[in-house]
Amino acid sequence: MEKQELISKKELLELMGISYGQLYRWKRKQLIPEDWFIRKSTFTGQESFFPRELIVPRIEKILQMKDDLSLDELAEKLTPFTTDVVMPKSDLPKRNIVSQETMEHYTGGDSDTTLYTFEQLLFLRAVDRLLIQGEVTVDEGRLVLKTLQEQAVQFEGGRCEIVLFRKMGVSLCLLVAEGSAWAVDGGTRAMVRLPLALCMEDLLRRL
Amino acid sequence: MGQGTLSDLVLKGVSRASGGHYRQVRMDGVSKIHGELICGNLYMDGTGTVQGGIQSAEAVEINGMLKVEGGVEATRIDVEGKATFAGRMRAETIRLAGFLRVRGDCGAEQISIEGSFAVEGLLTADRLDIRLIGRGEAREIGGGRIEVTPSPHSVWSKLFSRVIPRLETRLIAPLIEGDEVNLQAVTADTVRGKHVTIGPGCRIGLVEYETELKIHPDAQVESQRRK
Repeated sequence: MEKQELISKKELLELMGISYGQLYRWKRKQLIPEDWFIRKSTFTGQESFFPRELIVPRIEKILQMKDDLSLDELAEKLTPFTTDVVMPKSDLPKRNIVSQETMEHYTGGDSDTTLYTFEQLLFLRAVDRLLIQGEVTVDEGRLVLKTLQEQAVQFEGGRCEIVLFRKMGVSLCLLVAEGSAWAVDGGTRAMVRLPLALCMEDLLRRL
Repeated sequence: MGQGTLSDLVLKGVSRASGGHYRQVRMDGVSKIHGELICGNLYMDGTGTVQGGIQSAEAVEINGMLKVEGGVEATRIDVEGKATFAGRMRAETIRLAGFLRVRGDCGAEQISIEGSFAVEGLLTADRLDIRLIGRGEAREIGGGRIEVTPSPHSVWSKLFSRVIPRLETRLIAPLIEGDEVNLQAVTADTVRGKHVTIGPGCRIGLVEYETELKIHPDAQVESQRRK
């Protein structure tokens, strides 16, 4: 069964060297999304857990930036879908948003003056990551891009994970809610599991 | 819409008004607002009902009884009397003397409560100061410095007897987490903190502490663990 790695609040505080006060403050300021707090009853009482690969980079970023920005400014920077961002195609390579290859494969048909919204940049960034990491083929990248364009809107705030399955040479793309668990038949392999939130952070850093 | 073009809402006596965008809101007497309020300062003296949420860019000051059929967001919230919110409460500072009910989370940097409350969500603040009169309840309490003590005021004092039901003075919360946690008259399943003091009248299931734990002889703690 594929399950996202969770880290308990206690472990997190220790790992990142932060306090309860800080964590609750950041929750109040919405620097950490509400749905990242997963509550479970363990034999030691009520405990909170977080998706490890989401919370650790987020806290690293907060610790990194909190001395330069107020918490409110920081919250604004981390808000998903900064929808008023629009960029012409010609700016993409300059700003290092996506690699040249990705642009050639997926935006070849667009003119240099085509404007891309944050959402479109986000999807391109996600596919770029997958290609760079060598985890998907160009065709699979196209499938992922199409799936994102058609289905990502169903997830509030874009909180979903991209999963690519392969079985007997056929690829299948799935978008699931963050932190979901699944099970598949033995002949199916999950090649990729990428939370869109990570791509969002990535993209925000480049903007 | 510039602030300069907004008008004030002033209600006196027994009156009603529609909700909307106002500069300043003053409710004196028995007031009813049909809709949400988006405003600067809001002052209420008497009894009021807002059929929607309140979004104030400044302070919300209540003297009397206020029922809000929504949440409230402001820079400062000051209640003397009774307030109930059907949504969440959020501010920089919250001060309450009396009774508070929140059907959601209640969060601020500084929260000071003297009285009784029922928070159906998370009660959180950097500095949480609770002086109990009667019963306090929250689904979860978390923050930096948390202090809970019984108030020196008696339940039967004229100031509070109208708004606070006569229940045992106790705070009940399944989970309390903070850096400095100082509790009295608290019933909790789990308490976690760095410096924890479990004072008289407490009944705690599990305490997990990092640096220091003090347990008063008049407190009951089932189990404790150092992290």
